[in-house]
Amino acid sequence: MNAARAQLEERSGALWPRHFLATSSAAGGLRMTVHGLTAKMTAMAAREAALGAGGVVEYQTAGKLRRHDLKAIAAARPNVIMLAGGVEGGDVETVLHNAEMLTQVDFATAAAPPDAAQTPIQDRVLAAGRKPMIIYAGNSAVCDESCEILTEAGFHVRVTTNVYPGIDQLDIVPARTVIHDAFEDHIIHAPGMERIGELVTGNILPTPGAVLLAAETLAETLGDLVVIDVGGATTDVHSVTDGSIEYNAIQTEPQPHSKRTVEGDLGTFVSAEHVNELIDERQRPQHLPPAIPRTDEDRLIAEQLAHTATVTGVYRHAGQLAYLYTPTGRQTVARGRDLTACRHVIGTGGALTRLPGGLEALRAACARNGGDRLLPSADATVVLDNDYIFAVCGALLGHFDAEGVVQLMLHSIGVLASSDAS
Amino acid sequence: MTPPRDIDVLVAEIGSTTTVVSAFDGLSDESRNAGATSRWA
Repeated sequence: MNAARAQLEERSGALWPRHFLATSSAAGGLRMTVHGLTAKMTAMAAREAALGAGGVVEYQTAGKLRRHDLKAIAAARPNVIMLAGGVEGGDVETVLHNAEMLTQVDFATAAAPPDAAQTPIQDRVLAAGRKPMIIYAGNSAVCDESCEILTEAGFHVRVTTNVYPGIDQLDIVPARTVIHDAFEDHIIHAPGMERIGELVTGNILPTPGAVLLAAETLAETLGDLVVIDVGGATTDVHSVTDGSIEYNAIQTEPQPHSKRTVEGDLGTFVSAEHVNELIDERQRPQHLPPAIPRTDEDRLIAEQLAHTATVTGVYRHAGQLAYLYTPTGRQTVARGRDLTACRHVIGTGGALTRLPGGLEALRAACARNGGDRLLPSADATVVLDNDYIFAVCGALLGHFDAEGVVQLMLHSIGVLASSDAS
Repeated sequence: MTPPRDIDVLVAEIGSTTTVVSAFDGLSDESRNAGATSRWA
């Protein structure tokens, strides 16, 4: 970080900042496991909370944890575990059982040696003997009891509101702040990373969590929108929308106002091989480009991979119409994320903003000729985060007036900017 | 020697292989009066 600052100051002259903020996606970001009572209710809500905060969900369970799950949790080497389960006034047995079972996970054997130079930050934390943090987000009736069980076993526990307090109710925004705090706490305790805590004066946010914060704030000005970030390893899709009135009436799955999905098999470098297989055989490139393509040919291939990752990522993020056949005839229902009300589709990340073809990829991700997927409309405005600034803006939001930060984003996407940035 | 320039904020984006530091000024009340928002990266 000091080297990067020194490079900057070579060009700008010496700087004396009033604040020093940071986002981090180092070593794959914040690894989490999430646990709930039922797959499509409390476990789903915990997953949405984790992804919305910028976490990477490595393992998810519903129902009572079994011995097999304990091994899988240890192998996932989570930084943070989210324990949910039970609506308010509902089941208490499962979440208590799961709290007891988590005390039996052997994290030490799965951890890497603490002094390995190439060991990711998160693994160094575990290896230093620090257990993952547990965030309790379940039925409040047994919150104290669960926390006592976990604290006695040496876990550091934080509490947030029940992420699924009632049937078809999601309450995941409070959990996000707690996850961000947990991330920061974890990062600054990693051997070799202690100085970050000294240098940085504000929060250290997971980078994808910062992008979602930025997208939410921009949506207050622009209306419903989608932000797509194609990276070397993953493609993140963030949407901020309550869906259209038309499909809300037939929606069968509760959706948060803002949602992030991360596709671990869609990227232009680490996951390039898988993306390549999605391309029509006749157009499939014969070799894959390096992380930063240098030749015209490699740039063309990387562009093709980014295009496929964008279209596939948005397609997976979107919900769809489904048809139920009942005694009274066929009924149409909507399942999953409704993007049809999103009027702006924004590309960020190196692949979309630094290679040619970003806008074409975004246009291709929008709906064409109807279909059952609830994609953004074909006439949605597609724009690029030309200054590659969304993650940074997410970090700035906690410290500066949203108005100024929104102006930076508007300038970057070339929409309605009212002041110049230089 | 030129004294360091007061600015609002530095933001570091720490990745697995690279770290990018950006500087911003013109975001806070005290600096906004000085002119438009500036960024160096």
